[in-house]
Amino acid sequence: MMESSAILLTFALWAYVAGMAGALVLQRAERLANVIGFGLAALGGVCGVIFSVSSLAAGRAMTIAPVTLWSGPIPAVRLVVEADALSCFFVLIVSLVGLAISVFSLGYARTYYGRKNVGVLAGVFNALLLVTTLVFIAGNLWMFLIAWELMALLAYAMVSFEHEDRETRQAGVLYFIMSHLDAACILLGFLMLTQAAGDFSFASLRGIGAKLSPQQRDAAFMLFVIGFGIKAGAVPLHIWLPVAHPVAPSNISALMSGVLIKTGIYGLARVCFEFLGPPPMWWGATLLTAGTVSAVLGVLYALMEHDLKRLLAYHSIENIGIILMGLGAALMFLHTGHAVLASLALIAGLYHTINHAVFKALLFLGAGAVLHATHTRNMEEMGGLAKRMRWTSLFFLVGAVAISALPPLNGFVSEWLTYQSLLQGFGTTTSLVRLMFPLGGAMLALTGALAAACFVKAFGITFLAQPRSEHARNAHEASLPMLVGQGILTAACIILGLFPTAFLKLLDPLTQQLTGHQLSQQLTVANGLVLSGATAQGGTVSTLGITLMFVCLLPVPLALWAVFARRTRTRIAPTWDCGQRGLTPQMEYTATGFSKPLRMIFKALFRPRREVQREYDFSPYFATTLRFESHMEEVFQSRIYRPVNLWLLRLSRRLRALQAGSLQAYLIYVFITLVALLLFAS
Amino acid sequence: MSVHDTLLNRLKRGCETMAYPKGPAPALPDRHGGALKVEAAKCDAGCSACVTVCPTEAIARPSGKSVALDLGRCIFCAECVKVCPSKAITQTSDHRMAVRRREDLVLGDTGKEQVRLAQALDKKLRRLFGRSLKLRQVSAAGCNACEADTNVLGTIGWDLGRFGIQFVASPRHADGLLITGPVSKNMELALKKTYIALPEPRIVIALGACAIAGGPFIGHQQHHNGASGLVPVDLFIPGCPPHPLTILDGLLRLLDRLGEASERR
Amino acid sequence: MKRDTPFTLLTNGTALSWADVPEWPLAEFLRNVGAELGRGERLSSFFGVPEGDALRLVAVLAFDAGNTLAVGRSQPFTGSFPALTATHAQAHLFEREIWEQHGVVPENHPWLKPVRKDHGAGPAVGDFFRVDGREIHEVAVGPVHAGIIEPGHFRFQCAGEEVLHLEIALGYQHRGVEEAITGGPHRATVYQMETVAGDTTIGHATAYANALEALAGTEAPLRAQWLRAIALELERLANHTGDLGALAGDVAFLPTASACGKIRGDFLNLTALLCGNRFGRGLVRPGGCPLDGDAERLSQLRKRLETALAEVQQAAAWLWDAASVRTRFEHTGHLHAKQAAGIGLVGPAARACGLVRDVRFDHPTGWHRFAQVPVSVWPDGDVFARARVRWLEIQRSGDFLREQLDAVPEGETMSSLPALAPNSLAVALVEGWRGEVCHVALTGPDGKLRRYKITDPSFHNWTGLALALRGQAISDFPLCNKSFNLSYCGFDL
Repeated sequence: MMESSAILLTFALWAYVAGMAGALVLQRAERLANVIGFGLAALGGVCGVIFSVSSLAAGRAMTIAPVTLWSGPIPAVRLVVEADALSCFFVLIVSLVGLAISVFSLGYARTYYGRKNVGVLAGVFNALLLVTTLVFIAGNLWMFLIAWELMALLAYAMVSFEHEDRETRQAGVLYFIMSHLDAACILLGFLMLTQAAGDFSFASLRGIGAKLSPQQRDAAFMLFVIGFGIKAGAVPLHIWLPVAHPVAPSNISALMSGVLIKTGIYGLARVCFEFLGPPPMWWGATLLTAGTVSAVLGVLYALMEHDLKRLLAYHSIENIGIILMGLGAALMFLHTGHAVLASLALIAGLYHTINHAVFKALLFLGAGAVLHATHTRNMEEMGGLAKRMRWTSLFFLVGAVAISALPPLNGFVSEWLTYQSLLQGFGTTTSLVRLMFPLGGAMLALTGALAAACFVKAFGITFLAQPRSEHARNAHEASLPMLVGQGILTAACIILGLFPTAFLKLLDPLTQQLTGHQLSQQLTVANGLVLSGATAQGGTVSTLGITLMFVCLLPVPLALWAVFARRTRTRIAPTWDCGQRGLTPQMEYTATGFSKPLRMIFKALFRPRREVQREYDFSPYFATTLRFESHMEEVFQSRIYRPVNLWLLRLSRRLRALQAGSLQAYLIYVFITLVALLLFAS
Repeated sequence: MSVHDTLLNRLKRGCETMAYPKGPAPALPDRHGGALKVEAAKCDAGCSACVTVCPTEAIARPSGKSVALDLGRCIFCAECVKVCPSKAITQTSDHRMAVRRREDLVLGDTGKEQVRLAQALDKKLRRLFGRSLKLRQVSAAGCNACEADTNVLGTIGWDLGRFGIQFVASPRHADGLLITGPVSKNMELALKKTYIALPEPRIVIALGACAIAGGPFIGHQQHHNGASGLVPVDLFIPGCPPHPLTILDGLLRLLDRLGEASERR
Repeated sequence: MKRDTPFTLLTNGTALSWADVPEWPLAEFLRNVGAELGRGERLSSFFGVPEGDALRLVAVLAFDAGNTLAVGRSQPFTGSFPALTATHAQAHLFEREIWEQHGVVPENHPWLKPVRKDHGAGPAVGDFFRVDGREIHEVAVGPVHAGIIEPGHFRFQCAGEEVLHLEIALGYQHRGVEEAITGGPHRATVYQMETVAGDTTIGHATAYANALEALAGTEAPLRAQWLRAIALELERLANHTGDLGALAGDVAFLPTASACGKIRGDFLNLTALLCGNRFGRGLVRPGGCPLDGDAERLSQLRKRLETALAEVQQAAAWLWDAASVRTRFEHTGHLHAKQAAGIGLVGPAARACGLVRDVRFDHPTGWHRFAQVPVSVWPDGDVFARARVRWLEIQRSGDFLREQLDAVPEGETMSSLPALAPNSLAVALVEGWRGEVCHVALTGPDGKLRRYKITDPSFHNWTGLALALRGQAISDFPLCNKSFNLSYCGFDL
């Protein structure tokens, strides 16, 4: 019922408010602040999940009609919220992930007891969930932008939580600057739209693109792409992501990677599919290209990382790329008039959005647990954690399998759908543009393989073999709330993977709203057991079927084992070491060693530099010390951002000439400006 | 060189693997020193010429007892054969010398003029290893001659693989241990670790005079005088180095693959 | 070519009285040795002779250009001595050995670690050298290697697949050969000499026989010297054929690998035709060769030799033709001539770096005074060069054998050995198939061996392998190792 869903949502929002207030008020009582703050956030999350799932299941286009929360002195200044299918979908994402992270944080915040202000952490966390939800349910430009700004500010505050560290402070500043850059672009874009509409509400902006000239539409599109692209972390606008996400507390990193960057996707979906009207081909092509480049570069850089959280941050860039590929393909199909394929591509992109939110948050929570146990982010100092942190390693493994798009988990389903849309795209048009589809598919395949390799490295070096440091040796399992939080997301991965057909029904109102087509019927075959590729040329796959097959075949090896194991004696002996005294952790493979062959293959991109320093006393044949270091060039920073920075600084130095420091000069400036304005106004 | 050339060459040469054991054993060099034969009855009274001349003190003649030659310590220099006035010690051209028990290598008493050849493994082990025996070789201070003669068994002339016998890289994959060398103190840990790493059931073969009793270096304190003190040995193959035919004979005898079941002494 | 040197000159395979060996105080002695090494001469042997509680150092230098050896000794001293390694790297292992055997410390030695002995189970190299860096991991291989091969320990410092540093720790096969000879020759000594390195039986036995004959002031009969030369070349043929086969096997070139495995056996059987033992045990004794070959036997040898040489020619032709083999061999395991000379490399490994050094040519003794084998050299210093040198040596040994078997000298092959001269020093060098074998024998006042120093060519060459691996991919290690094919037990004694 409409009222009940509105009540649920309102309750969720008030829960966040209460959590924020409570945590901030109870700052001094750490434990209480922790429980109250994160407990209420979890409660809000539960309500949000129930609200969004029920709304989507009900299948209505508009769940909550535009409601004015507050009216200002001028009629134009109002705060309006509304919840349509797209909003509900993203509220589902923020609520589900927020719920899991809140539960996790109940245990994680204990690491900050006595060190930092847990009340502030919990309070700002609640506030962040609140404003993010508000972004998704914003009904007019004021609400959207205010929530957007608050989100950026609060996220900045959280990134700089451990501001004692210089690296963290710099990361925070970079995040702040990039957030404002993107806010500026979005603002400009929206202003172009609202000027044509005359009104700030989203209801009036629907389809406004028809009223704009093609050049204005293109300009608006570019502004939105840049603005939302920065937020989402698409290449080449991504440089803040691998810097800011690792330094934040791990639960915040999970929230940022899981939810905050999805606001960029939400924005792009909203403006491209609803506001800007029928897209020309190059819009979709741009998004597809940006997505492909982000995907490939993201995973390549991830492979070279040995900082666990930076590795995960680069993977976020990769997955945003995959989502953008889906969205871009959808726009291209809208242009060529293939509504079914457009819906398929859109579904693929949005399904991947929620999948990525779930498994990325899971991986970051796991990384948080590992970081807490070993006090380091550097994988080269970990190892052997699988024996010491059994559950965490199991959850991390599920997350790794999911992100590598291996069946039968959720990553596989959404990437399969993306492949389906790309491969079927080849026949949609006769122009050369159609080559982008199979090319995109090929790049997606490359990304998938590299992602799997990267997670072999991440999981293997972190959890397997022997511990490489004292901390890793003394690691202990995470506390119960941390395990439950990870467990919730693991369960979500499994459910989203095994029951895609059920989930697709929830996406029906979404595609109806954005592309005018409902697809779940076409995608479901055989009573919901099998997922199909929508058209005759598409394939079919059944993750549930695969799982059931494994489960049914499992008794065979078990039976063999039961029969033969009894006849043989098992003896546990040390690993064969060629007869020497014993193996040391120094003899384990390193993360950088693992990725070295790939670094050599993609040398042109990474531009690795190596340094070998040899010191010897008397004879060059006998070195006293030998030091080896290798670095990679940060291509985007050095070739794009630094030149732009330098140009800006040069320009500002020139403009400083204007700051003459004399009152007379400033008065003349005022006078000139007045005259100019008067002339312009007339 | 093209594939064509290689194939033609191979066809021309035909099968280069020897027929043994299905055919006669290959001809040994005529100067090859095979097994020794000790007929104590022929000894002159009070003569101990062979005892003083043996470099590894393999021959003993305690007063009142007959001469005893320990073939496990023998390095087949044949000095004793040269010096014996009554031809009590002679050298045959018999390549067969492998035994199961250490005491079977001591010749001289009546009934023990020649080596008592190895019995095959018991039925259970024959069932496991008879057609597939994987060996891990450990060179515990061997001089590389026994190793070379073991390596040659893998070449196309001898082709050990046709009996299912193969030398493997990891002791985890092995059924048995083949030890060469007198087992230096520095190799003791490695040998023990290799032995422990073998899954059971496992067998141990001591190849060459060094592995049985220390070889030419017998008595040095830098090593353990052979493997017997460290691991239980199932097959002893004497020689310095044993001719590949002797090694092959020993291995096949162990697995009962020789086909002449009545050849026991 | 005569030039000024304070050392006493000595021909290969001769002896001189201990008193005639020039003696200097320790510092001057080391300065003189250093000066000669600085002029480009080689250190063949460098060891200590205990004199009561003190120690005397003895150096045997090889003046290759002058075709002569030079000896000198220090006065007895205790405690420590300034290390030559600081200025001349080729002395490094010798000085470590002196430290280990006698307890005197070489000061400023840049790599003072044990050579063979240990105080536990397995050679202790102390802590292995470590490369600093986050990305470095170690690969530790051995002592039990993945094939039928002698034991040794290799510690690689790797950045990914690239080897930055290789440290080789041997000593697993230490049997105490030098200690056992003291007070000899004993009954077992000649047999121990034959098994110092079991695949270089003829090389070491010939060096031992030459040393003892020099001490006894006699020479083996000419026919025996001829037989020894024949056996030495047969040993070289067998081992080089085996090496080519093993190298082919390492790059998965099976036609040559399987063919050479069999042909090696054929060459070994040729040696067995001469003496009954495939490795030549019993063929060489001080005083001559106890076993002779009659005309019938020698003509059979000749015939079978031709067949085997033709077959190895065919097998090697396949090897050189294959582009895949050349790609793997070339530029792998590269060693510069300067490095090779700096560490005192010998044998085919040195000749493959362009250094012209061969004992048969530089210090001919025995039959090599009458018949020469051309020196096989190749300039590149990589695996290809080392394989190529082996191939050249096979061909040249084959030619030499044909020539010699067609011109058999007359006479006895065995003579009795007179008593050894007391207080004498003898040096015998033989070009074994791995390189220069050096035996130095010193008798005491009773004519018994007071000190016997054996230097196998591997003693010089293991360092070469460690240097050649720097900067290589670790997957090329088996190939580089086989291209050197050094003796572990010859090093460990």
